[in-house]
Amino acid sequence: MSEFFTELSPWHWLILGMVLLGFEVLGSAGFLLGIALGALLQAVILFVVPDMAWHVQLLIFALASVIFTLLYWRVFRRFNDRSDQPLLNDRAAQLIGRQLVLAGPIENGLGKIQIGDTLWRAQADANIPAGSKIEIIDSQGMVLIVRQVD
Amino acid sequence: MFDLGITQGGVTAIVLVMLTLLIIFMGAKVVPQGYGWTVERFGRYTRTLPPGLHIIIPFIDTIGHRQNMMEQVLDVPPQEVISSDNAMVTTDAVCFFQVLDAAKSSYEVNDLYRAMQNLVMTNIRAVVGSMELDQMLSNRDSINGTLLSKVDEATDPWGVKVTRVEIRDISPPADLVEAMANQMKAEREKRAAILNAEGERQAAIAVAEGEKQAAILRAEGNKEAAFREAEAREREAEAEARATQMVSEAISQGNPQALNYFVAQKYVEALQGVASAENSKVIMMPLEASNVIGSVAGISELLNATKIKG
Repeated sequence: MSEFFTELSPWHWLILGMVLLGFEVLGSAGFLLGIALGALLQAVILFVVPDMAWHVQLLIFALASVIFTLLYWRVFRRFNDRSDQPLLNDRAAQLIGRQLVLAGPIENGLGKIQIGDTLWRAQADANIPAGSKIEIIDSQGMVLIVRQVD
Repeated sequence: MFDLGITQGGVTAIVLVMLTLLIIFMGAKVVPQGYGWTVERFGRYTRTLPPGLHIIIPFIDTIGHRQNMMEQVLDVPPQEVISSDNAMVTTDAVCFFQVLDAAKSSYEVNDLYRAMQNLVMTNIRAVVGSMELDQMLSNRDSINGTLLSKVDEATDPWGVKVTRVEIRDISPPADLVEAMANQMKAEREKRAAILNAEGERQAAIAVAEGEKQAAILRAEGNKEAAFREAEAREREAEAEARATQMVSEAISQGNPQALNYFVAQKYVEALQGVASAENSKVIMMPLEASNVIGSVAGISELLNATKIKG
């Protein structure tokens, strides 16, 4: 057991890193990436400093894994969240910018508007009479924020 | 410690590596598209994770609910409803809804699907039960509309948007269906009988109408014919009168012997006719010979007259 740890060579770390990268490719969406990079970093360090105590190696590997994971998440967050359809599954947000004609009036800042064949609750900061043109400017959960368009 | 030839520092290092790996496993969360995961910090909801890679702080943050944010179909099981005219019908429905607010649908209601199912069922009872059977069968659209607005409003606090509720099937019991079919049949038969009678009536009228026209036309024809006949007779009489007049004029102006010639000719023709009749070998002739002879004498006189002229 102890022999295994004492005889850790850079190649071991390199193999570990590549195996982890392989698993990452098979699909774990990023959380093995940091650990793999940690292992590869440890391999490089061990090439540079050959006679490092093995528990120190493990420590460095653990810390590097956490740091790389955080870095990856921070730096690549925008890249990861890039989508052709960022509004997928968000019904209310998909409606923002749409213009339509009010069927019923908005009174006391609240009303209902029909979009497609469903009714949505609408909110406005003024009373809007029926038949006027409105635009959906925002959505708060289930409620659409609208304003009158002249 | 176990005697593995490893120092306590080494064991600590191994454990630390394991803990690190565990922390990374626990802290990095990948939310698939179409889901929203709620994060609870010490059991209290803090935020909802959208799809993608997220890091949550291990030890204090846990994933609460994995909420499906896609539009979902809810089958509403068949139930028996009594209509306002006391017909027992079985209805089932299908409901489409989408979770818009993962937090509300996770924490405002305990069992969202069961809650929605029961809500739709009770609303179907309320809406359909207030209608008569015939209305129920013919007003699906309005039933769906009413249901949708009611259910949608009721599910608002749960962060759910109900996009449609559709009554799938309304089936009255078999004997009622049969009665309905009979009614329909009777209705059609009645219509057929009425149409038949109507047709016969019109046909009779048409026949009578035709007969009347025919009688009128016939009478008119007869009248016209009578008129013409009378006219013809008049014309005939006129012609006869004229002919007689002309003959008498001719006689008065010319020789009366000419008459004798004609008469004699006719006599002889008549005799010939009588003689050539097949079935009479014996001819009774009340003939006055003197007349014939007279006519012969007339002929001789004619001859004489021509001789004198010659």
